[in-house]
Amino acid sequence: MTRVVVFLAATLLAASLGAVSQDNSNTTGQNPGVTAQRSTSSQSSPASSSAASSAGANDSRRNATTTKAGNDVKDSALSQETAGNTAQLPQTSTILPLLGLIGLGSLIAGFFARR
Amino acid sequence: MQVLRTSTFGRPRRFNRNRLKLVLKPAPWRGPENHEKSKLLNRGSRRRLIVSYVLFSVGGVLCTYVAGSYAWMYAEQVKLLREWKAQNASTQSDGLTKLSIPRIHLRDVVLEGISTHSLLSGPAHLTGSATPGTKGNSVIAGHRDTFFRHVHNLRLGDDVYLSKGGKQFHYVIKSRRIVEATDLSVLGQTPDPELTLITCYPTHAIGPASHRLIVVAKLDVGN
Repeated sequence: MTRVVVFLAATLLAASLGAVSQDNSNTTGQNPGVTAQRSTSSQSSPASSSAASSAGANDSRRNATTTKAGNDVKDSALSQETAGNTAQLPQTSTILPLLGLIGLGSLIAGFFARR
Repeated sequence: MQVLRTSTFGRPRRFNRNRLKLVLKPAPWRGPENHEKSKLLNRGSRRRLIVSYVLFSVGGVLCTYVAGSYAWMYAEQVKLLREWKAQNASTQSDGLTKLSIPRIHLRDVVLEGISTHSLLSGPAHLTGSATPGTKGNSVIAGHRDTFFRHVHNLRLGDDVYLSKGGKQFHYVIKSRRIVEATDLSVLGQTPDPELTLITCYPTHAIGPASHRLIVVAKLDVGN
């Protein structure tokens, strides 16, 4: 009876820990699109102001600078996102299979240890 | 006169051979040495029991966490798909994008921004790369052990569909290659509308990957 209780308690603890970690990742990475837009807009303000100061001469020159500024913003956002991973392509592998494997191994080892 | 008792030698020989192998041993609780030995044995079995409890607990915790994570991913995608359907009906231009690849039975909603959270919820579109369906290189990344686990099965000429705001864009796979994780040339802009799918390589390895599988698709001209 106590064994069952201990096992259930451990399982519930694990589930709650998992839920808490997921919640934390939710709060830190909440609405990634919005955060990306914010960073883009904050970066675009100095670029656009410099473009506005230099584009007093004529309309064609103004158009060229604004498009250039737009491209700069696009490139900087792209490089910022990849620079977060120290100039690497996005890390697209998780540790979930490894954890699952270790978990299954532990269960099997525990089964054999009891025998 | 008293008759002397006959000796045991008179017994049949089969008993003397001792075929039954009946070995008598003193009970384990008799004597101080045996008592100590049994104590040690008990201690050893108790230790094994504790180890087994620990292993069961660790295994239970990890398996529950992994199963919970996969269940959470599935629930998130179901929720996003519902949102996408609602947006698709109202033809919002800046709404969610759905990625469909019939060959690998992939039908997932793409999230904006490549963060850990968004990559756990689904395939993610690299912020700053071209919007799907427009000119330029649109980059979408996904985990090799969750959403993009069958991307390595894609072949040249396979169809890829991106649906957004009531419109569907048809891409055809034109190249497939493996690059180093540091090779950022795959993110470069292109004059034509292209779609780049990124996932880790080797596909069936466990742990961090040193390479990336890159699948490039071109927008179908008829679209």
